[in-house]
Amino acid sequence: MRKLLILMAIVLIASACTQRQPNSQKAHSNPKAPINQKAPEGFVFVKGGTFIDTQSNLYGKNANITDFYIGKYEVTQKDWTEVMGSNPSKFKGSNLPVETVNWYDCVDYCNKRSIKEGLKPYYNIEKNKKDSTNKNNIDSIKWTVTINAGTNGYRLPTEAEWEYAAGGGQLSKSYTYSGSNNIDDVAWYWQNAGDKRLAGYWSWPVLVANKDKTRPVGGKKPNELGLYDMSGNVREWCEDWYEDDKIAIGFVRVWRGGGWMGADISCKSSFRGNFEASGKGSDQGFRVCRGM
Amino acid sequence: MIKPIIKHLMKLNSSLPGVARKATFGAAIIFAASSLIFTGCQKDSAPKPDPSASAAVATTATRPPIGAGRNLSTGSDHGYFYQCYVSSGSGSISFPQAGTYAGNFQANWSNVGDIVAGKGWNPGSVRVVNYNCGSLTGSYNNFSVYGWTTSPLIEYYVCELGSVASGSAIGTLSSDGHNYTVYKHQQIGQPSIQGTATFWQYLSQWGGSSTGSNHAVTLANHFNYWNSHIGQMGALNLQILAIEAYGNKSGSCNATVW
Repeated sequence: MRKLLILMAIVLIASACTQRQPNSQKAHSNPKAPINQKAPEGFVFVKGGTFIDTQSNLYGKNANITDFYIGKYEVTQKDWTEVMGSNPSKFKGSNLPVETVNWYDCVDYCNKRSIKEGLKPYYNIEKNKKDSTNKNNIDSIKWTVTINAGTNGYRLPTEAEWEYAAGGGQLSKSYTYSGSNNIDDVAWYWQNAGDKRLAGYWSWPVLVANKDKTRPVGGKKPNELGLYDMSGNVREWCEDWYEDDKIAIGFVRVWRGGGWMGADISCKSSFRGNFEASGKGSDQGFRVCRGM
Repeated sequence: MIKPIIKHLMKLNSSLPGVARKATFGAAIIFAASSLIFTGCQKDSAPKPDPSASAAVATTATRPPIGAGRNLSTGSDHGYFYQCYVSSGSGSISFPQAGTYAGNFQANWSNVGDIVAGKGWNPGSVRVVNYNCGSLTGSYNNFSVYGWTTSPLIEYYVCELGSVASGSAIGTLSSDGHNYTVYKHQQIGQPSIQGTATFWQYLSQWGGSSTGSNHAVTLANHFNYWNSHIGQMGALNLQILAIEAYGNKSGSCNATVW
């Protein structure tokens, strides 16, 4: 129960980064905007509201999301290289999701892309100032990252926004995975992300031998909002610190959606994952959001 | 099965109150139970158990990197879960006395890159693991009860022969008539059933067991100690009694678990 209240607290007071602003002050949303409001290219307009997805951790909790735009696809290697100039991914391909990027890399990308496109950067990133709230003993980066309230620059989704969008927002059909109850319809994960379909129990040597890896974005069915690969392919960084009844704030950041390496459970729209902000993996990527 | 001995040992100084205040999730867990697809690790058709309890040599060579895996054999034999993983060289598992002792297995290895072979349960439980290591010849690294949990992801070893000592020493615990030194070791950014993750290994090191007689591992003692001194464990998954050898060793092991 405390886990759900914590997630709600994240929605209501948006306490991810230090000096984070509440959602109501952060975005200038238009509550009368039509549900199919035209979004920038590559983005989907997500109409805000309460959670109607009955499988969501925030269902029935009076949690409210304000309108936002979210990327239709995970950030690709093409997207990444255009902004950052190099490609850290293990599996190379312009239409593959970028991976092997840590949380800091992603907020840096968001700001650099904002500047490139003439948007006001959403984050204040102080690379030489250690974040005193960061207690992780293997994270040697610990940039201090705060938010510029009211800007329309690129950013990571909050965990609640991610779960809301993955669950289909106001169009939700309460699927287990993002867009279907059948994981193979919508997700690349350990059983189907390699040469042959795998069965039985998860086993790393078997995945390696089967050449499991990332797949081009958009190859599976979208969800109710037209979002692809919210479940599977690469795990997606969220903005927030992870917190539950065993792990306090300041150790690890949230990832959602599961990826090619993991089992089906981590691909559920409601599954809460976590990883140190400095951590990288060939199954760890992200997608971006923008304010209205 | 992850080797606790790695190149870069983490010196950890966090003291933990009741709640685990660290990233105690994720696992470089090679086997979250094993697929039935691969049968590269051979199963001998004509088992020849070695009745003599010969001396074996435990060494502490560097474990080979994870990920180049092949040759995985798993399944169920006489009601027990088994697995045999061989990275390179040759290795095999068979069950020569399983008709009489259902938990019996025989592992052979020759110039092996890495072998992890044994029998047990999936999922495990906080049980008493009884065993008799009838024979252990040649060269190996450890003979242990091995398993892991989810939520949080934690990998654990109770080492009966050889050594798994790695990471930070936490203290000692008494169980089954002898003392174990307990270590915790953090694996950083390793593959797991939840994807790339950072997780803890909980290691109880004794190494003073013997071949040819019955022994017991009362897991409750280890779990209670680990829970209270390191951090709360999660839901049990795979749990086996296994021999592990790496670094081009050769040898054999015949043991029974129940």
